[in-house]
Amino acid sequence: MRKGLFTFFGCILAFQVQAGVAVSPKPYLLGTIGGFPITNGMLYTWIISLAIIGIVRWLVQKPQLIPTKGQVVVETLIDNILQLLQPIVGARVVKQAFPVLIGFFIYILMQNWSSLLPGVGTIGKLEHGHFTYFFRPSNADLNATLALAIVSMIAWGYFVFSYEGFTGTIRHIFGNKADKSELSFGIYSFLFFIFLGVGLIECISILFRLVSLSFRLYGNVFGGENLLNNIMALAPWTKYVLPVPFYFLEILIGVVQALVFTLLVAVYIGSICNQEEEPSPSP
Amino acid sequence: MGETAVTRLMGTFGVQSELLIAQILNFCLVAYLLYRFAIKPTLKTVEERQKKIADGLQYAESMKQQLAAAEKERLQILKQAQEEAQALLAKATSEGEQYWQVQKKAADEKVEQIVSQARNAMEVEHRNLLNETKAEVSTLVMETTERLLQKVLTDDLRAKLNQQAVSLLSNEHGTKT
Repeated sequence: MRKGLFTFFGCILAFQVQAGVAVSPKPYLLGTIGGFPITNGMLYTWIISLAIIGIVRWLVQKPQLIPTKGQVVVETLIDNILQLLQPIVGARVVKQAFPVLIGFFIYILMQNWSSLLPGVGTIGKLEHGHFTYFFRPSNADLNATLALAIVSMIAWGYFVFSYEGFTGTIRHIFGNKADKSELSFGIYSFLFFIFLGVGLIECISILFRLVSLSFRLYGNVFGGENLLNNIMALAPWTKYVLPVPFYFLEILIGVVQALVFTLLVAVYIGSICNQEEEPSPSP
Repeated sequence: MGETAVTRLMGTFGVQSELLIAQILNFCLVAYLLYRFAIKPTLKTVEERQKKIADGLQYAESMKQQLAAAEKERLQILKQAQEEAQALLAKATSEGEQYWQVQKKAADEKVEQIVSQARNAMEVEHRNLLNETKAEVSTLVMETTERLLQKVLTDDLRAKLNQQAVSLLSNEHGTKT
């Protein structure tokens, strides 16, 4: 039985390797304009960016008091995201942080879902036996996800330093959070060193957010692309049926990753800006 | 060595500074346009709608209170009108009664006066009639006596007989009345 299973999965692996359908981890260069490199990831990002603006504007049009169906969709989305973010970021900052956070959610969601459109990864040119496709999902390009992570960290820095100030932020990261009245002076003083060490770890953690945010999103979308390509190439007689459930999975992953990215940035902002607004535990 | 590893990693994933900056600018532009032309107007509309709904509810509540106050005022006015009507009716009844009494008294007095006048007139008439009767009776007595006696009566006798006849008539009349 076990030998049979190994043989089965071994055959699948061999088929994938033989089929050579693995997606390149980096985008292909399509050409340059004035020395600026145009990659398939960049090109598709621009196309979908224009589509996002067009679709949302078309849905909203001129907002009316008695909303249209499209306006209801956008209003519901905005309202739900706002209700979700408010307790995380805190009422003090949410109004200012909301434009960036809703931008992350809509942008990542649309870019993720757009990777499932026909033509992505399949329209291109064949040169010297190498297929160069024109459209690569934006979030399957590390440039895009790293850019989002950089913007999120700049936004985090702006909100944190704006609302807590430099000293407040330093105190929050390195400060002694123990209750002085409940501890002896010796232990309280010793805890300063402990919290200093915790602060250093926190700094490393903050710096690593760039990596974690960008690679998480990139890994999920890039992994999804690989999954779909490999499922399609798994067996020619199943390529019209077998990928369908995985497409639904990718739709779900698209939403989840957009939400995860947005919520994580909200949590990073809220972890410092929302400290005083946390409800005190009941005795 | 660390820098080399990072560079190699960036190379593996095709990270380039130009693309990175382009992606950052692209996202910022999309996020700005989305917020400026879609999210912000939508939020403003939602806020305006909520305000209108709140105003509408407040207006409805205010109207409800005004309606209740108007109903209360209507009932109060109705009650006051009923009281005034009752008072007016009572006053009218009282004045009517009073007027009736005055008029009755006046009518009674007038009746009394008419009756009294009639009585006086009857008295005078009666007296005149009596005097006439007396005169007639006296004349008849004189004439009868003169015919019976076949002579003319003297003035003294005439006066005496006249006196007796009047006295007799007066006594008879007095006993009858």
